[in-house]
This record gives sequence, structure tokens and C-alpha cells, in this order.
Amino acid sequence: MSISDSTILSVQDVSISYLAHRGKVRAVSRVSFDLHQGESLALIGESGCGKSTLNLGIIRLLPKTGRIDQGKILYTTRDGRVVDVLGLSEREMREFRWAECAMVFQAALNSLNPVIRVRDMVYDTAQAHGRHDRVQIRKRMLELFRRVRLDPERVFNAYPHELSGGMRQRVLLALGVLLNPQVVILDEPTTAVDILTQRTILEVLRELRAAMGFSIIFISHDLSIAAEMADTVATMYAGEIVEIGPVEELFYRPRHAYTLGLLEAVPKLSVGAQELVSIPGSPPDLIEPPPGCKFHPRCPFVTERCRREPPPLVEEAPGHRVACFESARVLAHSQPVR
Amino acid sequence: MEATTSPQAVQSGWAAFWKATRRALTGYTARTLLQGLLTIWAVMTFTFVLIRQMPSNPVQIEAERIVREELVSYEEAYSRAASLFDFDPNQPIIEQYVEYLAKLIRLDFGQSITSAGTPVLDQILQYLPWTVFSVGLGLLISFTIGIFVGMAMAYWRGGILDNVVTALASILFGIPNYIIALLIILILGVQLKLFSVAEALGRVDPTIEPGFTPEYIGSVLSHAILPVVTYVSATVGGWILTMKSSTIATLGEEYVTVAQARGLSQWRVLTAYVGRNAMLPLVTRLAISIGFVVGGSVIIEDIYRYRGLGKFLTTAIVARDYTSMQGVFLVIAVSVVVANMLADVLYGALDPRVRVGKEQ
Ligand SMILES: Nc1ncnc2c1ncn2[C@@H]1O[C@H](COP(=O)(O)OP(=O)(O)OP(=O)(O)O)[C@@H](O)[C@H]1O
Ligand SMILES: [Mg+2]
Repeated sequence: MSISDSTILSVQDVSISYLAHRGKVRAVSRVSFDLHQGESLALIGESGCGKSTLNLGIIRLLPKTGRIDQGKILYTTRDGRVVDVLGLSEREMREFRWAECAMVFQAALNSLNPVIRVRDMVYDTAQAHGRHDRVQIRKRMLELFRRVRLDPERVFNAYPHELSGGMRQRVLLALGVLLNPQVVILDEPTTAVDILTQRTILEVLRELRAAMGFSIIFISHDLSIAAEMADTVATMYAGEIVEIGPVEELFYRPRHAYTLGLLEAVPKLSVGAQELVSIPGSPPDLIEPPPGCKFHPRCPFVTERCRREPPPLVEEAPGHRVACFESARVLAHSQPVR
Repeated sequence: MEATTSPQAVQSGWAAFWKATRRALTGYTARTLLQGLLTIWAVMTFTFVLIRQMPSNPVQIEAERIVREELVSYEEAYSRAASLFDFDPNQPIIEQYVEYLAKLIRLDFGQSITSAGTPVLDQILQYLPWTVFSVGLGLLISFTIGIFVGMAMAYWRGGILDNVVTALASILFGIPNYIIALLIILILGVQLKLFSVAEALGRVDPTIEPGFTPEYIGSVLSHAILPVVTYVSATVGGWILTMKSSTIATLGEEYVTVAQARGLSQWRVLTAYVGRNAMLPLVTRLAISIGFVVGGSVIIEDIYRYRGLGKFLTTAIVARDYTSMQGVFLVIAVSVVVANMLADVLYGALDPRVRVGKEQ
């Protein structure tokens, strides 16, 4: 098992499917990426493209109908060992979760047990990982609550229903870093809150990351947030990563027609009145995806070849990989826009 | 390490319970108590009038019995019966009511009409423990089985256990308890001779000296088996199915997945996250069932000749023993009202979202 020195998490050729009544839903197809120490990776893409599924797969908490069909998820422990997450036993997996890789869920409002206090959830979490010193845990948690700008004492002793949505989101964020994980996955951490709370959460996240040095996988529908938070951005379409690269590269020199489409669909305040272009059509059926490039039915750059062959993901610029036969034309088209 | 449940959860559970209890006894108590008293009074008044509308009165019933047994004229029998009882059927109902109420305020349930000289309360206290014991035990067993089996079915839904038990529970759920009782006697007792029907009936072997002896306790327990089994069979299906659907709903909640993502042990997730939330809807039902423990056994006690409060009530009804009937109905009303208050307290202790009053 070989991965480069600074790589914390290496997802290699992972496919995940759900068994539905109609057939097999290929929610994630042959996804590969590396997450480096301290790196922040943003996953962008339309609703239903498999972002949450991919991340649930990483901590192996897919719903009963979901399964990981193939691939490897290599994780580098703090002492430098490389383990395949998919090969861990149930017990090892339990220890891996939260202590190594924490996940702040999409539905943060519903992420806390309504009948027990926040402090009991904190102690539960710590105890599950063999940390029994309550005084110590309490101290650390209060400190983290302070960092995420919550009233520590009040929140620590509160029941979830006594907290607002934004507060619960920050509780989860603070709880997420309680055990000092190396990877923190954030599934749309800011969609349910207003724009000011959103700013607070992003700031807090940046501070925590600077202080603790964890890596982030960040899912967002909001490209401006992705641009602000991420070092690397990956575009997902219909379960595949179709383009991945450094944030500047991807946003200023997109090479995949889908990424370009996403960017053109975003209003820009600085430019003033301008034409917004939405992507025509809708995402494909994941049970019977179209042949060739899955994006071809919606693609303005489509050629005969796109309909026949699936394009491979190739590195076209340093660290910038794209799965598009017509990437040169897309790139050329994207230049005048900026 | 968590396999023995974490102490803080237990502790906070108790703390919450006591807090809720204390609150129940202060804040909104006055209103609740008043409401309860009003309910009890209304039920009491209603039954008072209603039972006196039944055809015949105690004196007439006794007179008929005397006529049947001693072949005397009805008039003679009637006057003998009237002298036997300390009850005047010609007294206006409103007078009877005021008298009864005046006694009741001093917690005096009056004297039994047909066994003159015996206070109703004494009789109730003599029969009540048997009913509370047998039906209460049945409820406890039924509820416990329901919780565990229902949860297990939800965890392995679609499995063999789920399919078999769902079918079985649906069938049992549909059969009335007295049919089950009759089937048990006829099939298990008479046909298969698994037990002696004559010995199994009654609430204890009358030849054994009462006391804390192994024989007596053994006899009490063995005589409770039939009513308890019947009661459990008739109710367990409902508990199982409710718990199953409630658990399935809870398993789909995000906080359960998040708890797993936090690396919590299966056991801890099962108890504090799934179990506790899944049980919430059952708590109200449990409290209501507790309220009906006292009155919920009339036919079964009759079939099994199990002399509990239900049997006492049927006897009283047949003899039109107004005061005894009234006493039993009152006890039932009180226990239902108290159980409802208990439900509030219990629910508040389990679910912080519905707690009344202010925290801290
Ligand atoms: N339990 C399930 N059973 C069957 N199909 C599922 C299940 N969960 C998700 N899917 C399908 O898998 C695909 C990916 O879903 P996923 O939740 O990963 O999307 P997403 O990218 O996170 O979307 P969003 O941005 O809306 O959160 C979707 O097409 C969805 O319909
Ligand atoms: Mg999602």
C-alpha cells in the first residue's frame, strides 16, 4: 500500500451502490482522490450526485441498502501506519470514527439526541474512545465551545431543543474536534443557517483548523464558500469526480463543461447585471446512466466520441485532473468570461 | 466498559425523574389535582345514578332468592329481605347521594348492602391485592416482552423473527382475552390435560394455611399462571407491534447515525439513543394500562374463578349491592386519574421537550 508522505486519506477507485426497488443505484463510481495533511478539499455538485454517500462510505455508515462495491480507502495514522479503512474490524472502525475522522452531518438540527443533555453526549463520545477523565473532558469541551462562540456553561448543560439551529451546528462542530481528529468531514455545514451565522461558522472553522491542523472534506452547494474555504476543489457529477484541482485553477481555468456550467450559474455581485446560464436538463438516472460521458446529454460541447466512450480522468495541468475529451475547448471558452 | 450502562445516564435519569416529580408536586399541581378530583367526582356521580337505574334493587333480588329457596310468599320474603339489609329502597335518590357523599369525604365507603356490617373498603382491600398482583404482573411481563421483542424485530426487520412474530402478534391482537381464557381451559386443560382444571382454578389452594411459607407462595404463584398467561397473550401483540414501528422510526433518525459516527458502542446507541426515544410513545400507553389494571380483569377473573376485584364486582352487580359497586368504580376512577398524572410525570422525565415549568 503506497501513498505519498503527507497524504492522510487516500480514496482509491471507490464505488458505492444502493439496492433500490428499481435496481442498483450507482451513487458513487470509481472515485479517487488524496487528502493531504492540513488540506481542505471542497466537493461541489448538484443535489443527488453522491457527495453524502461518498463521505458516509468513508466512515462506513451507509444505510443498510448501501454497499461499497470496490476500492480502497487508505488512512495514515498519527504514528505513520497506513491502514485500509475498508479492512478494519467493527471494533477498529468504531475507534476510527470521530477519533480519527469526524463528520458533521448535513441535518445538524436533527443530529443531537433530543432526550439527553449536550454534556451527556460529550461524555458519551469521550468515553467511547476510552477517555474517562470527566474534569479534563469538561474543561476541553468548554474551551472549544468558547472558541466556536457559544456560551460554554449554558450550552454544556442544555438540551438540544433549547438551542437554535446555528448553535446546534456549532455544538456539532466543537464536538467534532473534541477528540482531535485528523480528518473532519463537513456535509453542508452552512445551509440551514442565516448568512451571518454562516460567516461565524466559517471563521470558527478556519480558526480551529489553524489551531489544530486537521484536514477537511467540505461539501457545499455554495461555490463562493467553497472558493473561500478550500485548497482543492472536486466537481462531482452523477457519482464521479469529473474534475479536481487547486481552487484557483478550477475556478479560473475550468476544463470540464460541467464545472463551467456550475460557475456560470452563480450570480456575481461585482459584475452587475449579467446573463445567468443554468445547465439545461437534469442529472441522469443513476440506475441506468447514459453511455459514454454521463454529462453528454446536457453538454454544449458534446461530440460523437463523448456519446460512445467514457472519458478518463487525466492530469492536464499540475494537480489539475479532468475527465473531458473537449477540455481544451472548455478552457478556451472559459477564458473570456473572467 | 459501557456494557454496564454508564452511571451518569442512570443518574441523570433519576435526577430528571425527581425533578419532574418535585415539579409535579408544586407548580401546576393545584390545577392538576383539582382536575383529577373533578373527574373522580363526575365519574362517581354518574355511576351512582346509573347503577340505580338497573332493573331491581338489592332487596328485590334477595327476596326473589328467598322465594326460590324457601317457597314463601313474595311479600313475606320481601319484608324479611328488607329487614336483613340496612338499606331503604324507597329513600329518595338525592338523599342517598348526599349521605353517600358526606361519608365519602371522610373516606368512608359505607357498608356493604348484602353483607351487612362489612365496610366496603375492607372488602375492596381484601380483593384488590390479588387483582393488582395478577393483572399487574401480566402487564409488566407483557410490556417488557413487547419492548425487547419489538426492538429486536425492528433491528432485524424482514428476518425470520420479524415475520413470524408479526403474524403471531397480529393474530393474538385480534382475539379477545376471554376467548383466549376459554381456549386455554378447553384445549390445554380439558383436551391435552396439561394441567388439572379443578386445581388450577381459584386464586390459591384453600387447604394451605396462609403465611410466608413456600407452599403458600408457591400456590399463589401457580394459581396466577393462567390469568397472567391469558392477560399477556391478549396484550403482548399490541406492545410488540407498537414498539416495532416506533423503533423503526427512531432508527431512521439522524441522531442515531451521528451517535454511531461518534464511535459509540452498539449497546450505548441501543439504549440511550434508540431505546429511550422509541419508548416515548409507549409510556403514555403504559400509564393508561396501569390505570385499567384494577378494572381490566372482570371476565378473566370470572372464568378462572380468581377472586379478585373483578370477581367482587360481578358478584356485587348480580346482587345489586350498590355500595360495593360504587366502591369498586371509585377505585377504578381514582387509579385511572392517578395513572394519567403518573404518565405526565414519567413523560416529562423521559422527554425534556414536554417538561412543564422552567428549567433551573
Ligand atoms: N438509502 C438510499 N437508497 C437508495 N438510493 C439512495 C439512498 N440514499 C441516497 N440514494 C441515492 O444516491 C444518490 C446520491 O445521494 P447523496 O445523498 O449522496 O447525494 P448528495 O450529493 O449528498 O445530495 P445533496 O446535495 O442533495 O445532499 C442519489 O441519487 C440518491 O437518490
Ligand atoms: Mg447530501
